[in-house]
Amino acid sequence: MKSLAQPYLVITFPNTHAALKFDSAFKEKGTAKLVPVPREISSSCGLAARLPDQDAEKLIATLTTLDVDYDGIYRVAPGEKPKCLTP
Amino acid sequence: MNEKKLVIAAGAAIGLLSVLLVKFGNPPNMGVCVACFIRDIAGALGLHRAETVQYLRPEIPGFILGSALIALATGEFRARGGSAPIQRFFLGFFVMIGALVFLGCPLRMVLRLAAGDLNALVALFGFAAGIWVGLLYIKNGFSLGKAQRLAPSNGFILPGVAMALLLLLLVKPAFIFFSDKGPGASHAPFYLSLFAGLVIGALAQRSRLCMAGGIRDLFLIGDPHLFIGFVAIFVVALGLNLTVGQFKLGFLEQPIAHSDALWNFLGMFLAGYGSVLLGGCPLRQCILAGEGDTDAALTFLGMLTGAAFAHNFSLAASPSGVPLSGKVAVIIGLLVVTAIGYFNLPQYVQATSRKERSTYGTQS
Repeated sequence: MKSLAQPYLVITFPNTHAALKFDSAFKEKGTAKLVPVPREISSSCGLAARLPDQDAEKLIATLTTLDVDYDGIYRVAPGEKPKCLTP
Repeated sequence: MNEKKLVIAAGAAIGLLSVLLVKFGNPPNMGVCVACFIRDIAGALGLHRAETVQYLRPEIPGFILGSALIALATGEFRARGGSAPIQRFFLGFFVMIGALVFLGCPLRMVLRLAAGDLNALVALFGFAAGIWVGLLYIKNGFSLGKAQRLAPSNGFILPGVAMALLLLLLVKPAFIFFSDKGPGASHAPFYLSLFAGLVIGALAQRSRLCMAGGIRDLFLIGDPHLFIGFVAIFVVALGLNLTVGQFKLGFLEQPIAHSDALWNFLGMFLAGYGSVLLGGCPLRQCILAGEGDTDAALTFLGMLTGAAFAHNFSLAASPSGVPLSGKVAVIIGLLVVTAIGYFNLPQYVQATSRKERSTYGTQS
């Protein structure tokens, strides 16, 4: 799969509503897509947002501005374990 | 193995084991049915006295323990809870009522369909419609609240109960009921049933296979990932049923089924509606309970209680149809699930917490 060749970020949320809120609030700014939480991040079956690799600090600031609750932000790179970028 | 292959493998394994279990003695089209088997366990424990549906089905403890073992081995066992436990209990209760009015959990619905039982197709429309309605609440902010981490001992309670059930089945003390006739008397050998349960439990934990989740993700984000598992179960079971001659197309005279379309639809509507608010079908609740989710464990106990009520108060359907009391119970269930959906929308959750702060003061 080509899309796996580059690292990307995954945001996980405390509930589906937060994921949907992020999706509608963030959409105009580009490239985020809602996906099932990647299996390697969690055994839960909720929704996550997948977006191109970018500065996590700025992303956290954006999430705060949009007033979207999130659980964690992960960087997923091919062949590596996802790295949690949030405390 | 990538995620997609894992879901397909899990679905295929469930399809294969289900047909195999029927071949070796489980009731027709009931290789695996979470609702029916929990109902049989309730009967074996004497929680209801319907003499034809009493057996300590080892598949169910197998699901819980298979999930627990693989979660422990991979470091994913995490004791957690506190996300609206009592509401989940009652959601589980009514999911069970809905399933027993249709005569099967969502998993058996797929297996019935794969054996040519077209009543299950009507039920599938009901199940999907229930999920669609539940999603209206989720889209509007419905949440049962976030679970908290708990001391590890909490997570071992339901796996402990599962082990106790297996022990009771092996020891067969006099106070455990075993059916002499009816579906409860039909069962595959103990070790095969347990093996199937453990394998399905482990694969479902790894793949997150969920009947309700598959349709939910399809509706919500157009993602077929979990739904593929659903399809894999159907395709493999269909192929095997055709091969071994267990396929019979039609509505009438299907094994352990009735052909009352309205109540097949509404029963599974209730099951889908409750499942999507719970975040998973009955199988998924067993798997989550095995991983240490105590809310799912309470949902399981709710399903067990629902099954006991279903037979104590003649709510469950039978091949001769759905009793009036069962129809009333489904309508009550629809009202209760609707109320739970409504009163967990953000405006009510936040309004309550604001009132509490003003009454009791803010904790710092």
